[in-house]
Amino acid sequence: MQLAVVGLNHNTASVELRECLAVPQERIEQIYSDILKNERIYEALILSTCNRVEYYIVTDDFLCNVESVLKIVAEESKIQLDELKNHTYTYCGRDAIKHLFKVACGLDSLVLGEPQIFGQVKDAFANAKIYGKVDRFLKKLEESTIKIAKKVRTDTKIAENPVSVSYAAVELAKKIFGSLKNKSALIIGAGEMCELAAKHLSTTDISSIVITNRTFQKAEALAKEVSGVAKPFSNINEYLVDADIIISSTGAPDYIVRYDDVKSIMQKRKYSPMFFIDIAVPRDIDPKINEIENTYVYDIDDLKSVVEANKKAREKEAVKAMEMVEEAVDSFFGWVKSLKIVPTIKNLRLYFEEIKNNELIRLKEKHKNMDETLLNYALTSYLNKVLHTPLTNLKNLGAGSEKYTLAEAVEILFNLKGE
Amino acid sequence: MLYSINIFFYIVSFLLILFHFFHNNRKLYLSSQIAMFISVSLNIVNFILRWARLSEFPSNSLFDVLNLVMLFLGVGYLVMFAKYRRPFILLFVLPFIIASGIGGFISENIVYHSKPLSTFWIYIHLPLTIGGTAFFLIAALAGILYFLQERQLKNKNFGLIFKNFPPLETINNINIFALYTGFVLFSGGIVSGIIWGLLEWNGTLMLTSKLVFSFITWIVFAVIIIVKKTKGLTPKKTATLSIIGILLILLTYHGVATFLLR
Repeated sequence: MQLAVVGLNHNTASVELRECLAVPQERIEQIYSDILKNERIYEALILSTCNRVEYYIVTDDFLCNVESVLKIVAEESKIQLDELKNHTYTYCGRDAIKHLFKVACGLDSLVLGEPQIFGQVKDAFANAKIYGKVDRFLKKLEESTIKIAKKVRTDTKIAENPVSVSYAAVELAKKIFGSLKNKSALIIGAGEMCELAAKHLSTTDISSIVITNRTFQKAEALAKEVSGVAKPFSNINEYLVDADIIISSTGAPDYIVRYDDVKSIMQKRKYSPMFFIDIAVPRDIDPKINEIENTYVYDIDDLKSVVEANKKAREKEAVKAMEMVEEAVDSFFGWVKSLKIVPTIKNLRLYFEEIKNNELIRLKEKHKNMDETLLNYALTSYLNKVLHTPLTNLKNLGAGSEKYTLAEAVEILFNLKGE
Repeated sequence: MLYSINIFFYIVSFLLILFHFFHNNRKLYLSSQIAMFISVSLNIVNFILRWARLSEFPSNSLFDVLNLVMLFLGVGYLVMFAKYRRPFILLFVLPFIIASGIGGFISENIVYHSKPLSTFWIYIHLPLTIGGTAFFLIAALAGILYFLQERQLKNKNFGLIFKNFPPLETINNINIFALYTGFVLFSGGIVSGIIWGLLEWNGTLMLTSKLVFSFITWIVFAVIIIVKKTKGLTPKKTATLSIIGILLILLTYHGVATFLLR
C-alpha cells in the first residue's frame, strides 16, 4: 500500500480552473463515495482550498487508481480529462508524503509559510473521517502531518515576518505601541490599499477606526465592513488629534497631512506617539513630519523594503523547514516500509508455532506420563528466545531495499557477525 | 568561593542572553533566565551567610555595598521581568551586575566604617537607598534602550535591535515603572537616613556632603516625576532625564565615597 496524490494548485492552474475544481461542501460526500467505489482505493482524503485542490488516496496500484480519480474529477467539474491532465501533478509513495508535509507547513503555498493552510489540512482530515475513509495509513499520516507542521512553526521563524504591505504596516504599529488596545486609527481614503489595511487593523484589538474619504458613501461602506466610523473629509486635522495610527492612500496630487499641522497637533496630544503610513503615490503625508519628536512616517517604499526583507528571511527559514520535512518523511516512510514486513513476521512465527505444536503432539503420544503444561511452557519459552533476535532485526531492517546474499541475511538476522 | 560561583552564574546568564540576541533560540533564552534566577538566589544565600558570619548587617565595607548593589539589581530585573516579560533588559543590567561583582572582589579590603553599625536604621536606610538606586539604574538603562529602538524606527533600520527589543511604548512603561519604584524606595532611604542622622547627632541635622548630594539627587528625580505627572514629559525627555539622574547618583556616591574615605 502506498500514498498517491493528484491535484492542482496556484502554480499549475489558473484561478478560473481552480474555482471550477473546488469541492463544495454539499458535494463532498458524493465525491468521496465515487472515489471509494474503486475497491483498490482503501482510504481517501480531499484537500480543497482557494489555492489548491488535491486528492490523496491509499492504494496498491498507483497509475490505474489515479486515473480513476481523475475521471471522477473531470466528470464532476465537467472539464475534459485531457485538459485536466495538463494542469495536474501526481506524486506517489515518498514524494506524495513529502508533498503533503510541505503543503501543511506552508512550504508549497503562494505566500511562503502562510499559517492558514495548517488549519485547512486539519479540516480536510476531519472531513475525510466523516464523509470518506480514514484507516490505519491516513490516521498515522494525519498524526505525522500535524506533528511536522507544529514543529516547523515552533522551531523556525517561517511565519514570523509579515509579507504583505498592509500586514507589515500593522506589525510596525505594534513595534511602536506594543498592544493596539486603546489605540485609534484614522484611515484616509477608501481604496483597495486602505481597505486591506483597515481589514487587517480590524482583526487586532484596536479600539476605534475612523474612515474619511472624499466620497463619503465609500467611507461609509468601508466603515460598515470594519465596524468603524465614517467621517467627512473636510475636517481631517480634527480627527488627527485623537488618532494614533494614520493610514493614507488617496489620489490627491499634494500632501493632505502637513508638517505645520502635525506639529501643533502633537502639542495638543502632549507628544503622544503618532504612526503615519503613507501608501499613496504621490504621497499624502509630508515626510518631514518624521522629524517631529514621537512621530514616525513610513511610505510605500519603506513598507515594501520591510516586505522584501521579510520574504528573504522566510526563504532562509524555508531551507531549515525543508530539512525538517525530509526527516519527517524518512520517519514516516520507515513506518510504511515496516508495514510490508508485518505479514512475513506473522508467517514466520506461525511456521515455528506449528513445528512446536506438532512436536508437542508427537512427544505426548510417545510419553503418556509427561507433564504437558510444563513441556509446552518450556518449548514456548525456548521458541520466544530463539525468535526474539531475528524478529527484532527483521522489524528494524527487514523492509530495507538493500540486497544481501543469503548467508549475509542470516548473519544480520541472528547477529552472528564476529562470533 | 560562593561569591565566585555567584558571579560565574551571572556571567553565564549574560553570555546566554547575548547568544539568544543573535540566534533567537528559545532554549538559550530559557537557560539565561534560569541562570539569572540561580544567580539571584545564590546572591541572597551569600548575603545571609555573610550576615551570619559577621554577626552584623554587612554594610561597613565597599565589598558589602557592591554585593548589595548586585543583589538589588538582580532582584530589580526579576521584578521587571515578572511585569513585562522582556528578557533583553538583561543585556543592559547584567554588565552592571558583573561590574559590581568584580568591583567587590577588587575592593574587598576597603572599609567604610571602622566599627560596626549596629543601629536598627541601617536595616531600613541601606536597602531602601540601594534598592532605589538599582531601580533608577534600570530606568536609565530602559532610557538607553528607548533611544536605540527609537533611532531604529526613525531611520527605518530593521536590524537585530529592532526585531529583538520591545516596542517603544513598552520600553517607556518600563522606564516609568522603574523610575517611580526607584523614587519611592529612594525617598524611604532619604527619610530614614535623616531620622537616623537626627538620632545620631542629638537632634541636629548636620549638613554633610553625603546628605547634600543625596538630597540633590532626590530633588532631581522628584522634579522629573512632578513634571511628568503635571505637564507631561515626552518619553524621550523622560529617558534623557533618567540617564541624567543616574549620572547624578553616581556623582553622589563618588562624593560620599570620597568624603567617607578621607
